Amino acid sequence: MDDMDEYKEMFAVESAEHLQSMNDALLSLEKDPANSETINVMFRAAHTLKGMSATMGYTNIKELTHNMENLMDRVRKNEIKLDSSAIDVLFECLDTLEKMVETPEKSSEIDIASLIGKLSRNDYVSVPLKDEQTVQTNASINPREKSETGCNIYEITVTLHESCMLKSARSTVVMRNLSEIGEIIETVPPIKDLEDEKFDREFKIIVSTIEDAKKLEDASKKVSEISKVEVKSHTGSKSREKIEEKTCVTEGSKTSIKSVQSVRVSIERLDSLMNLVGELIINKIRLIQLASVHKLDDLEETLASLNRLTNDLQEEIMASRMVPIEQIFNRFPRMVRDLAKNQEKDIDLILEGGDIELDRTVLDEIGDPLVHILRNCIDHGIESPGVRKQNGKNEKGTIKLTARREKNHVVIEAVDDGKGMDPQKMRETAVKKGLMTQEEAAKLSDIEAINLSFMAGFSTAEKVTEISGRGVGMDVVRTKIGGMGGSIKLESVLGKGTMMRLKLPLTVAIIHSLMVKVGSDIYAIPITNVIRDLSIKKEEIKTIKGEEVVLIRGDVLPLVRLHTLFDIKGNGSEELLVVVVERAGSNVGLVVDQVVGQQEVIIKNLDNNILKGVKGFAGATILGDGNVALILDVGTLL
Amino acid sequence: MAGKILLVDDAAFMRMMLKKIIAPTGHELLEAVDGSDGIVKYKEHKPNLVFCDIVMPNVDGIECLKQIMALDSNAKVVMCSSIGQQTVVNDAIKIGARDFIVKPFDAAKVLEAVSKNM
Repeated sequence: MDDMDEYKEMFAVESAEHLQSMNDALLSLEKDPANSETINVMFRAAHTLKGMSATMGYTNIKELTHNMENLMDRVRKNEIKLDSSAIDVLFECLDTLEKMVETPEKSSEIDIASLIGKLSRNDYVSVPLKDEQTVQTNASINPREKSETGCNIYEITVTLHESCMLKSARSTVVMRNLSEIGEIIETVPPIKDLEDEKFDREFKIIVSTIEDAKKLEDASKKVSEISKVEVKSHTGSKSREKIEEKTCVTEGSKTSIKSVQSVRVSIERLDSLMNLVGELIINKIRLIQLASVHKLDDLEETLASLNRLTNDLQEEIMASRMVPIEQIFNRFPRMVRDLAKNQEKDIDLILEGGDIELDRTVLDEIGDPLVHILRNCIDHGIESPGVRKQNGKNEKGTIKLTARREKNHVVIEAVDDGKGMDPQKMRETAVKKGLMTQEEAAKLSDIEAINLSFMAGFSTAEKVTEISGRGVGMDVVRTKIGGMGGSIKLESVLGKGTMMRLKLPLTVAIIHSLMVKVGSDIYAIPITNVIRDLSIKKEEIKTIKGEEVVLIRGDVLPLVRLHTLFDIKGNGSEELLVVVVERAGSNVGLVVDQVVGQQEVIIKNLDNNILKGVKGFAGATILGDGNVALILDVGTLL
Repeated sequence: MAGKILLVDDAAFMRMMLKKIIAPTGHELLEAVDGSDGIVKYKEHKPNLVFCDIVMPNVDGIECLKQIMALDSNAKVVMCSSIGQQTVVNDAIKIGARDFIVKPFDAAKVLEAVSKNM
């Protein structure tokens, strides 16, 4: 990677962070438009992005952020109010910025003139200026005005040398020198920003002192790496108030020593590390098997420590791949806001558990399914405010998206308090779409009927909106989740709401599996799908309408013989081993010959070979003895 | 007016770099190999200026600075920092460091620090 690529990557990552914080800030400003801290966050993010894009030579990004910064500056200075029209414009800018940042080389092709026009409009609601103006005129008439305390107030503008590296520390030196001969009243930007290096080369310090301008200039110029110092007399109502408070800026602003040491590593590198560890584990298992076959006791101790080391290594690498789920949760508030606004619905999105960590690959995979699920909540779940009121509900609908850790997996739940799903309507639709006959539909339980929504070609939306009618249905969502060794569960109460629960493995690269034997082949079933295993007698099997079932504590458990499914000859024994798995909210028993045990298996994707497109398998894995075992995807298998 | 400058750094290479840059100014140069040595040498020689590294074994630069400031509140100490050490440098200045320079050293900036602080 050459320097330029490295800069570009850095730019991409950092600007994405700034866009995210602007997005968050805007969303909260929409609710609390006068929050000065949030206004400052917005201002700083735009400012930083401006500086970054200017460095990289992305003029259009720079221009747009510059104008955003100006608008925020006017808000900050209380000249204008952030009304909803201004927020809409800023959201529009964010969208454009996102596009530009994605492919910054092409950012110059995007027309930003109209946005800039909107940003620099003058008809935003202005805040009446108080007596500040008069004070300012006074100042120009009487520049050497003495303040009430008998001190002169000066504004010192310091420009750092271009090559100055630790700008913040440099500004601290200047302030320290000035505080020795006067009292620092205020800094522009605020001291916190100076410390965080959130400024360009220039900063201003307002000092109250009995000394003259020359002294101040000398004290400032004594500092290294300063290219220019300008001292002029200053007055302003804000500063006056502060003088009376006698605030000494350098006190109370001590920062504790903290050093965050981190390195950016590309995801490809982590993937290849993971792969290598996978190979290492396979070889380790092979070695353990060899040692036991040849009874090499001497090897045992070494193998034990090798085992521990590889496990530690695997854990470390897995840990380094973990990212907080926040990263995808973050984009939802905006999406829900826009969709809700579009459909004239009032929706509150509650996010919980954003700090839960998931493997990067899992995170990438669940983004789209979650978007789809949320869109369903908005399109089909939450009713319009009028309807909600009629039904005695709060006019504002709620969607709650939570993530939590449960043992070896992460559970994500999307719950809405909308109208819920009508099993009867589901049955009718399935018949109408020709997915099943009237009789078949009538036989379905309510739970099964609701789960019809996972069937390919099923969509109950009478009026397909532009968003949810994009051809990807819940069946695609299920396939995607299942493909990672996860599961999905749907519950709905008519009139009350719907809950969608995703159970995901922490990582996709290595999954905990139950190894089973069917005929002479070994298969892996992701442990997230497995409920329990049990053994039954042949005579316990009953037949309901041609399907084999078994009664377990009064519940009917449908049986699926993997032999039949895979066309393997069964052994015809009297005792059958059954692995109970969860599928689309109901349980199914898979008949196998032998349960070999639990094992961590390394998924090798089937994407690039002949098995691509074959349903029922999430991938393959290499066993310690070198054999290949297929990993079952319970969701699509049956 | 020639004076005494103490260079505190555990890396001989860095001291050499500084020496080469500062030597032409004619000031007398003293060396200390870590923070504790720096404090001892300061007491002994009362140098006009100290260049003090931050990350050092035994007694680090911040502690060394504190001790020197305690010995002599008018001591002039210039911290030698790396790019990532802004926070530490900020703290050092609040403790009393007069100035700082950033590694890798730029000769002009080192000399600027010398001339502005001597």
